[in-house]
Amino acid sequence: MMDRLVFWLEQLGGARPAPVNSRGRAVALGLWWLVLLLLTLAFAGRFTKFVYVDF
Amino acid sequence: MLPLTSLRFAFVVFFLSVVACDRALARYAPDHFIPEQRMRAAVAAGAGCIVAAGDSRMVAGVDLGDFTQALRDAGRTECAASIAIGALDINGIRVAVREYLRRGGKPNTLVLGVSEDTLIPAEAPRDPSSFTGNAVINLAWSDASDLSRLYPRFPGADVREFDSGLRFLLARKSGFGTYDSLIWQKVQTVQDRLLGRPKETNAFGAGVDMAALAGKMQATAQRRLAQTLAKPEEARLDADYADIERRVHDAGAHLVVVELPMPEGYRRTVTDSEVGQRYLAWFRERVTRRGGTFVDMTHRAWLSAAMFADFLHLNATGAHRFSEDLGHALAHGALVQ
Repeated sequence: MMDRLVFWLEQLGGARPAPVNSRGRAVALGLWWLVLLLLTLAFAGRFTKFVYVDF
Repeated sequence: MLPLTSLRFAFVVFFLSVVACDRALARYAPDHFIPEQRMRAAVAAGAGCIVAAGDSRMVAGVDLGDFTQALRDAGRTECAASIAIGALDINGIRVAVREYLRRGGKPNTLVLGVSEDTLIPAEAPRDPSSFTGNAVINLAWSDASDLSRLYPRFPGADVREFDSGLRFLLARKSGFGTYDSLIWQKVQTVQDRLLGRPKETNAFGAGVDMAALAGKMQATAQRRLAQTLAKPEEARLDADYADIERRVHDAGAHLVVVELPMPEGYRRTVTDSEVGQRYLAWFRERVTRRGGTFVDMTHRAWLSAAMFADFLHLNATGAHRFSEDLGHALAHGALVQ
Protein backbone atom coordinates (compact mmCIF):
# COMPACT_ATOMS: atom_id res chain seq x y z
CA MET A 1 0.00 0.00 0.00
CA MET A 2 2.69 2.46 1.07
CA ASP A 3 4.89 1.46 -1.87
CA ARG A 4 2.06 2.13 -4.30
CA LEU A 5 1.40 5.53 -2.72
CA VAL A 6 5.08 6.45 -2.90
CA PHE A 7 5.22 5.27 -6.52
CA TRP A 8 2.14 7.31 -7.40
CA LEU A 9 3.39 10.43 -5.63
CA GLU A 10 6.75 10.14 -7.38
CA GLN A 11 4.98 10.01 -10.72
CA LEU A 12 2.76 12.92 -9.77
CA GLY A 13 5.73 15.00 -8.68
CA GLY A 14 7.73 14.23 -11.80
CA ALA A 15 10.49 12.26 -10.03
CA ARG A 16 9.47 9.12 -11.90
CA PRO A 17 8.41 9.25 -15.58
CA ALA A 18 4.68 8.96 -16.04
CA PRO A 19 3.38 6.47 -18.57
CA VAL A 20 1.92 9.03 -20.96
CA ASN A 21 1.40 6.82 -23.94
CA SER A 22 -2.16 7.65 -24.91
CA ARG A 23 -4.22 10.73 -25.73
CA GLY A 24 -6.24 10.34 -22.53
CA ARG A 25 -3.16 10.30 -20.34
CA ALA A 26 -1.69 13.28 -22.19
CA VAL A 27 -4.89 15.23 -21.49
CA ALA A 28 -4.69 14.21 -17.84
CA LEU A 29 -1.07 15.37 -17.68
CA GLY A 30 -1.94 18.74 -19.27
CA LEU A 31 -4.78 19.22 -16.79
CA TRP A 32 -2.53 18.23 -13.89
CA TRP A 33 -0.10 20.97 -14.92
CA LEU A 34 -3.06 23.35 -14.98
CA VAL A 35 -4.01 22.36 -11.42
CA LEU A 36 -0.43 22.98 -10.26
CA LEU A 37 -0.40 26.40 -11.94
CA LEU A 38 -3.74 27.36 -10.41
CA LEU A 39 -2.59 26.29 -6.95
CA THR A 40 0.57 28.37 -7.38
CA LEU A 41 -1.44 31.42 -8.43
CA ALA A 42 -3.96 30.96 -5.63
CA PHE A 43 -1.33 30.79 -2.89
CA ALA A 44 1.11 33.33 -4.37
CA GLY A 45 -0.39 36.20 -2.38
CA ARG A 46 0.12 34.69 1.06
CA PHE A 47 2.50 37.41 2.19
CA THR A 48 1.01 40.27 0.24
CA LYS A 49 0.07 42.96 2.74
CA PHE A 50 -3.14 44.88 2.75
CA VAL A 51 -5.12 43.08 0.09
CA TYR A 52 -8.41 44.84 0.60
CA VAL A 53 -11.10 43.83 -1.83
CA ASP A 54 -14.85 43.99 -2.15
CA PHE A 55 -15.54 40.73 -3.98
CA MET B 1 11.01 9.50 -21.40
CA LEU B 2 7.60 10.58 -22.57
CA PRO B 3 6.77 10.02 -26.23
CA LEU B 4 7.25 13.39 -27.95
CA THR B 5 3.81 13.52 -29.55
CA SER B 6 2.09 12.79 -26.22
CA LEU B 7 4.19 15.46 -24.54
CA ARG B 8 3.30 17.97 -27.25
CA PHE B 9 -0.34 17.05 -26.85
CA ALA B 10 -0.12 17.55 -23.09
CA PHE B 11 1.42 20.99 -23.66
CA VAL B 12 -1.38 21.93 -26.06
CA VAL B 13 -4.01 20.79 -23.52
CA PHE B 14 -2.22 22.75 -20.79
CA PHE B 15 -1.94 25.91 -22.89
CA LEU B 16 -5.56 25.81 -24.06
CA SER B 17 -6.88 25.12 -20.56
CA VAL B 18 -4.84 28.01 -19.13
CA VAL B 19 -6.27 30.34 -21.79
CA ALA B 20 -9.79 29.03 -21.09
CA CYS B 21 -9.41 29.57 -17.32
CA ASP B 22 -7.94 33.03 -17.90
CA ARG B 23 -10.86 34.07 -20.10
CA ALA B 24 -13.37 32.51 -17.70
CA LEU B 25 -11.89 34.49 -14.78
CA ALA B 26 -11.91 37.70 -16.85
CA ARG B 27 -15.62 37.14 -17.57
CA TYR B 28 -16.64 35.95 -14.10
CA ALA B 29 -14.74 38.35 -11.85
CA PRO B 30 -16.22 41.75 -12.88
CA ASP B 31 -19.77 40.67 -12.08
CA HIS B 32 -18.69 39.74 -8.53
CA PHE B 33 -16.35 42.68 -7.98
CA ILE B 34 -18.15 45.29 -5.88
CA PRO B 35 -16.29 48.32 -7.32
CA GLU B 36 -17.59 47.24 -10.73
CA GLN B 37 -21.12 46.94 -9.37
CA ARG B 38 -20.80 50.34 -7.69
CA MET B 39 -19.65 51.88 -10.96
CA ARG B 40 -22.59 50.36 -12.86
CA ALA B 41 -25.02 51.61 -10.20
CA ALA B 42 -23.55 55.12 -10.32
CA VAL B 43 -23.88 55.31 -14.10
CA ALA B 44 -27.39 53.84 -13.94
CA ALA B 45 -28.41 56.55 -11.45
CA GLY B 46 -28.58 58.85 -14.46
CA ALA B 47 -27.39 62.28 -15.44
CA GLY B 48 -27.16 65.29 -13.16
CA CYS B 49 -26.27 63.45 -9.97
CA ILE B 50 -23.98 64.57 -7.19
CA VAL B 51 -21.28 61.91 -7.30
CA ALA B 52 -19.05 61.04 -4.36
CA ALA B 53 -15.51 59.93 -5.18
CA GLY B 54 -12.57 58.99 -3.05
CA ASP B 55 -11.06 56.13 -1.09
CA SER B 56 -12.35 53.96 1.76
CA ARG B 57 -12.86 57.00 3.99
CA MET B 58 -15.52 58.21 1.57
CA VAL B 59 -16.96 54.68 1.35
CA ALA B 60 -17.25 54.63 5.14
CA GLY B 61 -18.33 58.24 5.50
CA VAL B 62 -20.94 58.79 2.81
CA ASP B 63 -24.32 57.25 3.51
CA LEU B 64 -26.22 58.04 0.33
CA GLY B 65 -29.58 57.84 2.12
CA ASP B 66 -28.64 60.44 4.76
CA PHE B 67 -26.85 62.53 2.17
CA THR B 68 -29.85 62.60 -0.18
CA GLN B 69 -32.20 63.38 2.70
CA ALA B 70 -30.06 66.36 3.70
CA LEU B 71 -30.24 67.64 0.12
CA ARG B 72 -34.03 67.18 0.06
CA ASP B 73 -34.38 68.99 3.39
CA ALA B 74 -32.61 71.94 1.78
CA GLY B 75 -34.93 71.83 -1.24
CA ARG B 76 -32.46 70.20 -3.64
CA THR B 77 -33.65 67.57 -6.09
CA GLU B 78 -30.40 66.12 -7.46
CA CYS B 79 -29.82 62.39 -7.31
CA ALA B 80 -26.76 61.11 -5.46
CA ALA B 81 -24.37 58.33 -6.43
CA SER B 82 -21.03 57.03 -5.26
CA ILE B 83 -17.96 55.85 -7.12
CA ALA B 84 -15.84 55.88 -3.95
CA ILE B 85 -13.77 52.71 -3.69
CA GLY B 86 -11.66 51.55 -0.76
CA ALA B 87 -7.89 51.13 -0.82
CA LEU B 88 -7.25 53.54 -3.70
CA ASP B 89 -4.64 56.24 -3.95
CA ILE B 90 -5.18 59.36 -6.04
CA ASN B 91 -4.23 57.49 -9.22
CA GLY B 92 -6.93 54.89 -8.56
CA ILE B 93 -9.46 57.62 -7.82
CA ARG B 94 -8.55 59.24 -11.14
CA VAL B 95 -9.13 55.91 -12.92
CA ALA B 96 -12.54 55.58 -11.25
CA VAL B 97 -13.56 59.13 -12.23
CA ARG B 98 -12.37 58.57 -15.79
CA GLU B 99 -14.24 55.27 -16.00
CA TYR B 100 -17.44 56.89 -14.75
CA LEU B 101 -17.21 59.64 -17.37
CA ARG B 102 -16.21 57.17 -20.07
CA ARG B 103 -19.29 55.04 -19.40
CA GLY B 104 -21.48 58.05 -19.99
CA GLY B 105 -21.76 59.40 -16.45
CA LYS B 106 -22.80 63.07 -16.52
CA PRO B 107 -22.41 64.44 -12.99
CA ASN B 108 -23.78 67.75 -11.85
CA THR B 109 -21.10 67.84 -9.16
CA LEU B 110 -18.21 65.57 -8.26
CA VAL B 111 -17.49 65.53 -4.53
CA LEU B 112 -13.93 64.40 -4.02
CA GLY B 113 -12.95 63.38 -0.48
CA VAL B 114 -9.27 63.89 0.33
CA SER B 115 -6.75 64.58 3.04
CA GLU B 116 -3.35 66.19 2.58
CA ASP B 117 -1.55 62.90 2.03
CA THR B 118 -3.92 62.04 -0.82
CA LEU B 119 -2.87 65.11 -2.76
CA ILE B 120 0.91 65.34 -2.51
CA PRO B 121 2.79 63.80 -5.44
CA ALA B 122 3.82 60.14 -5.27
CA GLU B 123 7.50 59.68 -4.43
CA ALA B 124 8.10 56.88 -6.96
CA PRO B 125 6.31 55.28 -9.92
CA ARG B 126 3.61 52.85 -8.78
CA ASP B 127 4.62 49.21 -8.88
CA PRO B 128 2.09 47.01 -10.70
CA SER B 129 2.39 44.48 -7.87
CA SER B 130 0.55 47.03 -5.70
CA PHE B 131 -2.48 46.83 -8.00
CA THR B 132 -4.12 44.20 -5.85
CA GLY B 133 -7.51 43.99 -4.19
CA ASN B 134 -9.70 46.94 -5.11
CA ALA B 135 -6.71 48.58 -6.77
CA VAL B 136 -7.08 46.11 -9.65
CA ILE B 137 -9.27 48.80 -11.18
CA ASN B 138 -5.90 50.28 -12.22
CA LEU B 139 -5.65 47.27 -14.51
CA ALA B 140 -9.27 46.36 -15.24
CA TRP B 141 -10.27 49.93 -16.15
CA SER B 142 -6.94 50.91 -17.66
CA ASP B 143 -6.36 52.05 -21.22
CA ALA B 144 -3.35 52.31 -23.50
CA SER B 145 -2.49 55.83 -22.27
CA ASP B 146 -1.92 54.59 -18.73
CA LEU B 147 1.37 52.95 -19.63
CA SER B 148 3.08 56.20 -20.55
CA ARG B 149 1.36 58.00 -17.69
CA LEU B 150 2.47 55.53 -15.03
CA TYR B 151 5.87 54.71 -16.51
CA PRO B 152 6.93 57.68 -18.65
CA ARG B 153 10.43 56.29 -19.18
CA PHE B 154 9.22 52.93 -20.53
CA PRO B 155 10.70 51.16 -22.40
CA GLY B 156 14.19 52.54 -22.85
CA ALA B 157 15.49 54.92 -20.24
CA ASP B 158 15.18 53.02 -17.00
CA VAL B 159 15.41 49.29 -16.29
CA ARG B 160 13.02 49.43 -13.32
CA GLU B 161 10.39 51.26 -15.32
CA PHE B 162 10.85 48.81 -18.15
CA ASP B 163 10.20 45.98 -15.69
CA SER B 164 7.18 47.72 -14.13
CA GLY B 165 5.78 48.75 -17.50
CA LEU B 166 6.11 45.28 -18.95
CA ARG B 167 4.41 43.70 -15.92
CA PHE B 168 1.67 46.31 -16.15
CA LEU B 169 1.10 45.50 -19.82
CA LEU B 170 0.99 41.74 -19.23
CA ALA B 171 -1.26 42.05 -16.17
CA ARG B 172 -3.84 44.31 -17.81
CA LYS B 173 -4.14 41.96 -20.77
CA SER B 174 -4.86 38.79 -18.80
CA GLY B 175 -7.55 37.67 -16.42
CA PHE B 176 -5.06 36.08 -14.04
CA GLY B 177 -2.81 39.14 -14.11
CA THR B 178 -5.71 41.44 -13.34
CA TYR B 179 -7.81 39.46 -10.90
CA ASP B 180 -5.48 36.97 -9.19
CA SER B 181 -5.37 39.03 -5.99
CA LEU B 182 -9.13 38.58 -5.63
CA ILE B 183 -8.45 34.85 -5.35
CA TRP B 184 -5.63 35.48 -2.87
CA GLN B 185 -8.00 37.29 -0.59
CA LYS B 186 -10.38 34.33 -0.52
CA VAL B 187 -7.54 31.85 -0.02
CA GLN B 188 -6.01 33.91 2.78
CA THR B 189 -9.32 34.09 4.60
CA VAL B 190 -9.71 30.30 4.41
CA GLN B 191 -6.10 29.76 5.48
CA ASP B 192 -6.44 32.09 8.45
CA ARG B 193 -9.62 30.32 9.51
CA LEU B 194 -8.11 26.84 9.16
CA LEU B 195 -4.95 27.82 11.01
CA GLY B 196 -6.87 29.60 13.73
CA ARG B 197 -5.19 32.95 13.35
CA PRO B 198 -7.93 35.27 12.20
CA LYS B 199 -7.03 38.93 12.54
CA GLU B 200 -9.31 41.49 14.02
CA THR B 201 -10.96 43.01 10.97
CA ASN B 202 -13.72 45.36 9.96
CA ALA B 203 -15.21 46.10 6.53
CA PHE B 204 -11.97 47.75 5.44
CA GLY B 205 -9.39 45.20 6.49
CA ALA B 206 -7.34 44.09 9.46
CA GLY B 207 -7.07 46.46 12.40
CA VAL B 208 -3.28 46.06 12.56
CA ASP B 209 -2.94 46.95 8.86
CA MET B 210 -5.12 50.00 9.38
CA ALA B 211 -3.09 51.12 12.40
CA ALA B 212 0.15 50.65 10.45
CA LEU B 213 -1.20 52.66 7.53
CA ALA B 214 -2.41 55.48 9.77
CA GLY B 215 0.95 55.49 11.60
CA LYS B 216 2.85 55.68 8.32
CA MET B 217 0.65 58.50 7.08
CA GLN B 218 1.25 60.47 10.26
CA ALA B 219 4.97 59.72 10.38
CA THR B 220 5.73 60.83 6.83
CA ALA B 221 3.06 63.42 6.05
CA GLN B 222 4.75 66.43 7.69
CA ARG B 223 8.08 65.77 5.97
CA ARG B 224 6.41 65.22 2.61
CA LEU B 225 4.22 68.30 3.02
CA ALA B 226 7.26 70.45 3.85
CA GLN B 227 9.13 69.13 0.81
CA THR B 228 6.08 69.69 -1.39
CA LEU B 229 5.56 73.27 -0.22
CA ALA B 230 9.13 74.08 -1.23
CA LYS B 231 8.32 73.19 -4.83
CA PRO B 232 6.73 75.44 -7.46
CA GLU B 233 2.94 75.51 -7.47
CA GLU B 234 2.49 73.12 -10.41
CA ALA B 235 4.50 70.44 -8.58
CA ARG B 236 2.63 70.59 -5.28
CA LEU B 237 -0.18 68.27 -6.32
CA ASP B 238 -0.11 64.79 -7.73
CA ALA B 239 -0.65 64.95 -11.49
CA ASP B 240 -3.60 62.62 -11.03
CA TYR B 241 -5.44 65.25 -9.00
CA ALA B 242 -4.92 67.79 -11.80
CA ASP B 243 -6.23 65.20 -14.26
CA ILE B 244 -9.40 64.68 -12.19
CA GLU B 245 -9.90 68.43 -12.02
CA ARG B 246 -9.53 68.78 -15.79
CA ARG B 247 -11.86 65.89 -16.58
CA VAL B 248 -14.57 67.17 -14.26
CA HIS B 249 -14.41 70.66 -15.75
CA ASP B 250 -14.38 69.26 -19.31
CA ALA B 251 -17.51 67.28 -18.43
CA GLY B 252 -19.21 70.55 -17.46
CA ALA B 253 -19.49 69.49 -13.82
CA HIS B 254 -18.61 71.32 -10.62
CA LEU B 255 -15.76 70.00 -8.47
CA VAL B 256 -16.17 70.05 -4.70
CA VAL B 257 -13.12 68.95 -2.74
CA VAL B 258 -13.86 67.84 0.81
CA GLU B 259 -11.10 67.72 3.40
CA LEU B 260 -12.21 64.61 5.26
CA PRO B 261 -12.66 64.28 9.02
CA MET B 262 -9.82 62.30 10.54
CA PRO B 263 -9.13 61.00 14.05
CA GLU B 264 -7.52 63.29 16.59
CA GLY B 265 -4.03 61.81 16.15
CA TYR B 266 -3.94 62.65 12.47
CA ARG B 267 -5.43 66.09 13.00
CA ARG B 268 -2.87 66.93 15.66
CA THR B 269 0.19 65.69 13.75
CA VAL B 270 -0.80 66.54 10.17
CA THR B 271 -3.85 68.77 9.61
CA ASP B 272 -3.17 71.19 12.44
CA SER B 273 0.59 71.23 12.02
CA GLU B 274 2.20 74.38 10.66
CA VAL B 275 2.95 72.78 7.28
CA GLY B 276 -0.46 71.12 7.17
CA GLN B 277 -2.20 74.45 7.65
CA ARG B 278 0.01 76.18 5.08
CA TYR B 279 -0.65 73.44 2.54
CA LEU B 280 -4.39 73.50 3.15
CA ALA B 281 -4.54 77.29 2.85
CA TRP B 282 -2.69 77.14 -0.45
CA PHE B 283 -4.82 74.25 -1.73
CA ARG B 284 -8.09 75.90 -0.73
CA GLU B 285 -7.09 79.05 -2.62
CA ARG B 286 -6.09 77.01 -5.68
CA VAL B 287 -9.34 75.04 -5.77
CA THR B 288 -11.37 78.23 -5.54
CA ARG B 289 -9.25 80.01 -8.15
CA ARG B 290 -9.94 77.18 -10.59
CA GLY B 291 -13.67 77.35 -10.16
CA GLY B 292 -14.10 74.57 -7.63
CA THR B 293 -15.27 74.62 -4.04
CA PHE B 294 -13.35 73.54 -0.96
CA VAL B 295 -15.28 72.20 2.02
CA ASP B 296 -13.35 71.72 5.26
CA MET B 297 -14.83 68.94 7.41
CA THR B 298 -11.86 68.52 9.70
CA HIS B 299 -13.14 70.41 12.73
CA ARG B 300 -16.87 69.87 12.90
CA ALA B 301 -18.66 70.16 16.23
CA TRP B 302 -19.86 66.54 16.11
CA LEU B 303 -16.38 65.13 15.55
CA SER B 304 -15.06 62.94 18.36
CA ALA B 305 -13.26 59.65 18.86
CA ALA B 306 -16.64 57.95 19.27
CA MET B 307 -17.39 58.66 15.59
CA PHE B 308 -14.58 56.44 14.29
CA ALA B 309 -14.58 52.69 13.68
CA ASP B 310 -10.80 52.42 13.46
CA PHE B 311 -7.72 54.56 12.89
CA LEU B 312 -9.06 55.97 9.61
CA HIS B 313 -12.76 55.36 9.04
CA LEU B 314 -15.96 56.82 10.40
CA ASN B 315 -18.39 54.37 11.97
CA ALA B 316 -22.14 54.28 11.22
CA THR B 317 -22.90 57.15 13.60
CA GLY B 318 -20.04 59.19 12.21
CA ALA B 319 -21.18 58.44 8.65
CA HIS B 320 -24.69 59.62 9.51
CA ARG B 321 -23.38 62.93 10.91
CA PHE B 322 -20.86 63.42 8.12
CA SER B 323 -23.39 62.68 5.34
CA GLU B 324 -25.96 65.06 6.82
CA ASP B 325 -23.36 67.75 7.36
CA LEU B 326 -21.94 67.33 3.87
CA GLY B 327 -25.41 67.40 2.29
CA HIS B 328 -26.26 70.62 4.11
CA ALA B 329 -22.90 72.20 3.29
CA LEU B 330 -23.31 71.40 -0.39
CA ALA B 331 -26.94 72.47 -0.57
CA HIS B 332 -26.17 75.79 1.11
CA GLY B 333 -23.35 77.01 -1.01
CA ALA B 334 -21.20 74.48 -2.73
CA LEU B 335 -23.56 73.29 -5.47
CA VAL B 336 -24.14 74.83 -8.87
CA GLN B 337 -27.71 76.14 -8.96
